[in-house]
Amino acid sequence: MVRRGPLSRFRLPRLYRTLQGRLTSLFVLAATVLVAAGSVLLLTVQSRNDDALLTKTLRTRIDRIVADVGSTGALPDTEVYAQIITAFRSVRDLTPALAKEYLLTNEQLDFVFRSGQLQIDRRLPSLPGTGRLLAQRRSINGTPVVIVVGASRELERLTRQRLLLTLAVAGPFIVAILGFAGWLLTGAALRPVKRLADEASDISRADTGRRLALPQGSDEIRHLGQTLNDMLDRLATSFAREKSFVDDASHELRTPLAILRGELELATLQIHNTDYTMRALHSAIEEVDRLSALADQLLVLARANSNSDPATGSCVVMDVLPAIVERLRTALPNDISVELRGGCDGAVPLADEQLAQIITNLVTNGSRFARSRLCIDVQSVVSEPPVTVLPGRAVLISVHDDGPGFDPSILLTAFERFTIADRARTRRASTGGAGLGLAIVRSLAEMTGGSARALRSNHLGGGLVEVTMPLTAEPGHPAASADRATELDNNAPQGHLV
Amino acid sequence: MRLLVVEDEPKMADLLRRGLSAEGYAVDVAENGVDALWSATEVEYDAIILDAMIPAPDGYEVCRELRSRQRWSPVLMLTARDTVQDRVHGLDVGADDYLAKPFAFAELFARIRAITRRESAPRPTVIQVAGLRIDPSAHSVHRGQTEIELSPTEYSLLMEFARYPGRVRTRTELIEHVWDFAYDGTSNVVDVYVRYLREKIDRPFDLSTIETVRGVGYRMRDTPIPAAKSP
Repeated sequence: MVRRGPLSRFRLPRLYRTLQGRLTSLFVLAATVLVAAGSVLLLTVQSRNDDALLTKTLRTRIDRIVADVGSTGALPDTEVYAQIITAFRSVRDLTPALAKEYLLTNEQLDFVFRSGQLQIDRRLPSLPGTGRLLAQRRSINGTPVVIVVGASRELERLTRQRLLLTLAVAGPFIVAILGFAGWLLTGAALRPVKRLADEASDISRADTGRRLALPQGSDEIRHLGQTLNDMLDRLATSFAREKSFVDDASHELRTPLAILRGELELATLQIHNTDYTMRALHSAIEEVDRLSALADQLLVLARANSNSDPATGSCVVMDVLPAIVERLRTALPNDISVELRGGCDGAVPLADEQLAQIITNLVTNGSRFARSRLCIDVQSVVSEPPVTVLPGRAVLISVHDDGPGFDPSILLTAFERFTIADRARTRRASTGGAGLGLAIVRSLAEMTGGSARALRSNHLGGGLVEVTMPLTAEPGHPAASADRATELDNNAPQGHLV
Repeated sequence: MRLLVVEDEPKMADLLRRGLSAEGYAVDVAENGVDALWSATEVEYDAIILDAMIPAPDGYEVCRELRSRQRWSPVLMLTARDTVQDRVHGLDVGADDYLAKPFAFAELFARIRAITRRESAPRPTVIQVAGLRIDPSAHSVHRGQTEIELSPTEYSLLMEFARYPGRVRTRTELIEHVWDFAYDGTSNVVDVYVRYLREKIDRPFDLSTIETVRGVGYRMRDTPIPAAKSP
């Protein structure tokens, strides 16, 4: 039973499960906040403006009164709400609506005479709603007076109310429109992504050649498509490699079986022809040997790759190598010479037969391509990861040939099982190889904590396979530390060959 | 009978040569694709035994190339590649038969007898007739660069005409070849489908490919003629 956190039981509402839904929700939230803040700002500014405008209007009215009373002695016709009060607290002039009462108390009047101006917001007689009074000390024809004007703020309030109503209706409407636009916009932005995803899910393993159609330009979607296509390329390469491995393996295993079966079948048809039968049986034996060799090689590979037992044994390289090379010389065709150069002190963690197998495979492989010369070069080097797993002393065995060299297309797969170089360029027909030789070399080298690589020989101009394996001190041979200094000079592994 | 064996593995080639010679065939051996193409172009072999995995060009390529060079010798692919895709690929590039290694000689002989029994008539993998290009492996029909979408019955009818261009096909004949026993209709259905077919392969191009032979049936022209202006 899998324990599930409290969150896993909670399922997001449908809308939020899509990126489009989440982005749009976020967008709507932001739009709501912005529209609300905008409305508040608008209302504040509006009310401030109204305020300032009202005061200004009142002041203008006072100016007008001063001018008109000074010149004509009467209040202007347009004035509806004003009182002119003398220094003796008597009303000198007033508009009809204000006949009954003083607009200012005595204290307020005194205050205006003292300080020059007073503004009061309060309910005003005979005006609707709240209103504003503005009182100023002025002088008309040399007489100091206080002029009081007033106006209702009802209109202002109504305007503000209407604005608020408008915003309350329009705000959500704007948010809705923005939300819808956001939905469309994110949809439009995500549509190419969805298209890519649909297309990618359509590409099955069967049509590995198909690629996503990339949009024009150099935008993010194109980049995404490009990345996916690169991934498809890599997958196709590995599928192709896998397929060619199966093809090659089946070819290598089935060909000897087919020949074996054919020989035996033909022999049964001609059982009385002794010569024919003998030939068929010999051929069959050859094929059985070939199959046995193949089985052996596959077993070596399987063991080396199983990693169950790390490399054991201690094979003193220079004790074993000359004998192997001598044996190989006799086994190879006469027109190919094999040269052994250099040397090293110490042992590799392999059994003697395993080192022999490495050398044999390298030489056999080289001899398939070589025109006339093979060169085995042995050096001790100081090696570091990734060439060897651990840093330290190592032996570098290089096998050069003077053939055409590795085809660039095969350099990366030369050590894969069943890799066979272009058949037209090898003498495979006469030497026979299932493409397991180098695979075994690499597996054994890696088993010791070393590595193998294929490259072009600068020495003989053909192929070069380098195998690096860590050296352990040779038992009972203290020379190992003495020649350390010379090895360090030799640090560039193939320096003197270049 | 003269056979060409294309096989790069010398022992296998030798084995095939011996086995086939013992059966009374004259056998030539080619070791790679280039030699195989040369030999098969020079000599009209009665059959070609072709390995798929040979030095380039590979067996499939050799087969395709032979057919495009109008060499119609029966081809039997004999190869270690035995997956369904490989067999389908081999047969679709023009091979007549496919046998996977390891094989029994008895079966190989029987198959060679079978493919050599057939007439060695041109059997193109892609049929070109009356300006139409029909690819049975892709089930596609093209006129020029334009792909024509056909229903399975229309396609089947077109194939029936394309197999014998210039020959009159009666309604009964067409019914027998295109419709199965389950079909229990009148010969009117042929007229209906011929009309559908004309709508798709002729009408859009203002051509006339299938002509009516009054009282008998229909005939596909080798080359289409411009359509008569409809009244």
